Amino acid sequence: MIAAHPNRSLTRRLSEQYLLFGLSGLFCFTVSAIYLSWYGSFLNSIPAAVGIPLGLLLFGSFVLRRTSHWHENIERQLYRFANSGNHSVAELRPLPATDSLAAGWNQLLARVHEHSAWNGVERRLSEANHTQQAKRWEAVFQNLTEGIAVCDSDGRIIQLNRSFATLLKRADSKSLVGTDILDLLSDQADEASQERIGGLINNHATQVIEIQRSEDLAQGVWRLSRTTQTGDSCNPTDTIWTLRDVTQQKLAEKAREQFVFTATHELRTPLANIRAYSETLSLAADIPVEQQQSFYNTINNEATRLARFVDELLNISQMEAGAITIQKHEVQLERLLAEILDSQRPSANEKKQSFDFSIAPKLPKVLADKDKLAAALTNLVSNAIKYTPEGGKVTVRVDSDSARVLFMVEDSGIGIKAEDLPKLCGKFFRSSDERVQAVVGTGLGLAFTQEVARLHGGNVSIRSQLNQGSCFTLELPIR
Amino acid sequence: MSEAKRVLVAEDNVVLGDVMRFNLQRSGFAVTLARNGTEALRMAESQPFDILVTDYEMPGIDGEELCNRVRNELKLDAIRIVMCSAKGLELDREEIMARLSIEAILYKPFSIRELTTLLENLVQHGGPRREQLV
Repeated sequence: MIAAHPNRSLTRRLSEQYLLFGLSGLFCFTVSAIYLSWYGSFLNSIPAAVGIPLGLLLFGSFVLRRTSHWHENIERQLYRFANSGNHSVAELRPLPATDSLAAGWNQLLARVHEHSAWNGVERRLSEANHTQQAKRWEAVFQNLTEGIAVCDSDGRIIQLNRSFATLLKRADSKSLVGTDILDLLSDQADEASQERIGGLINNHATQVIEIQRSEDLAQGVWRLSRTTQTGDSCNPTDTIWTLRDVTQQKLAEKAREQFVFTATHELRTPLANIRAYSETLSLAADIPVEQQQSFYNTINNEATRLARFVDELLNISQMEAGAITIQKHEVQLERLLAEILDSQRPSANEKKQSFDFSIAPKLPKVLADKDKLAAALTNLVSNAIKYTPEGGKVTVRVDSDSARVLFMVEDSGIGIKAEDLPKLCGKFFRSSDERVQAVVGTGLGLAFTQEVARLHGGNVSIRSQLNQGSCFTLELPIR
Repeated sequence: MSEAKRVLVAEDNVVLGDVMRFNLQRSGFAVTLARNGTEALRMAESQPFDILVTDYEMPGIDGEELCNRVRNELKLDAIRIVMCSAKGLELDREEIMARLSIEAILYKPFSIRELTTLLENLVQHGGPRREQLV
């Protein structure tokens, strides 16, 4: 039929065809009318004169329809697409023709389908990624050391992680879903703590409190916080609770406070003595000379005691700051030991203790920091004297082999409980035994001694029998 | 003063106790030293004293408990008590002095002369003087 020229629009073609057929029909009618009227039988020839042009026009409309057939198809599809509920691209169909219009439409459809397919893949990938992320967060949630629980507005647990259950000494976290969080917490809280928890709930802002099981901090102290949720995916009446075990920090704080108190006392005591004696000497003119001499000695001793304690404080503060440094030189062990023993002998004598030492004959020369080593050993010896009652026995033995030197300080004192042994060298640790508490101590001496030993490449080992005595051994490598 | 007033000194710092005794004896007091609260209590029970000078921090029975027992268990209301303390800040001075009828609280390190003067005043003036000397 009439081939559609790609460059001429539909409207133009239709109107051309319309004109063509219209004019042809008109022409036919005119020609047949004239012909038939020329040959006479006009009235008889009217059907022919009208029929032919009509036939032509009908044929014309058929051709017009054929011309716009594919356009109509497209138009219909578009109407259907616009009116369909879900605008599904799958409803559009390609045209089974090979001309440019059909080709254009088909290519467009192909592109649309491709695009929609890509969108589908993207969505599935994003969902998969989301699930992966969600799984990862779930894993993080469960494995946090901090305990976390989410509760509804009634205080019942909706969700919790493993740590929350473990911190409250429950084995299974899943079984706790649905329990009242207050009931759970009350198990681990003394009265004062329970009051604080009550206060936490009544106050709607985020809050952090500490709860403890009893007066004894070692039983357990926890930091508890409560906050409301924010964010689109959360129910605003839900609350998030977090729990953290802060027992160690609280104990360390308490130990530090205790240390400051002890240190102050240790400084004030010799000061008070020095002041009292020097005041006495300055005010009284008639004190017998021997008495005066003894007073001056006392002042001297007390000043020395004060100086030593200040040194100890300095060492301790270095240790606390992690700043102990050692400078190794050759040390004459015999002389070092003699100095230490001489300085400690008066204390032993005061307590009427027998103070012996035995030093192996040929001690090797050791590379060590003389001052730090002296301080470490002095600490061991003074401990032995302090924690041994009157009339007891303190023995210092020094021995060596090819690789190391062993300093052994043995006493017949109060000994150490088995459960305290591993904690003994910990900073600020002091046994709860009342005999230990009665003795003034910082809880830092052994930590210091051990640190010095470690810095020299050695160590400290302890053997003890409660109520019978202890033996502390400081081992030092020779090089 | 006709007869030497008897002073019981409870002080775990032996060195300090000695110099306190030295000075108080020179001022005419009869001084007995106790090295801790338990010993002091025992002595207070068995001998008469006019004045008790006690340290606050002592092992075992501390100064506050010693005063408590002296007043309430031994019922020694006539003894004048002076307390020495290194813990300046934590003690509620007024409360303790009122509750245990303590004459004065001295803060360490205190002046020996002030202690001596304080005790002499107590003895001379008879009535309680609630003063806190530093």
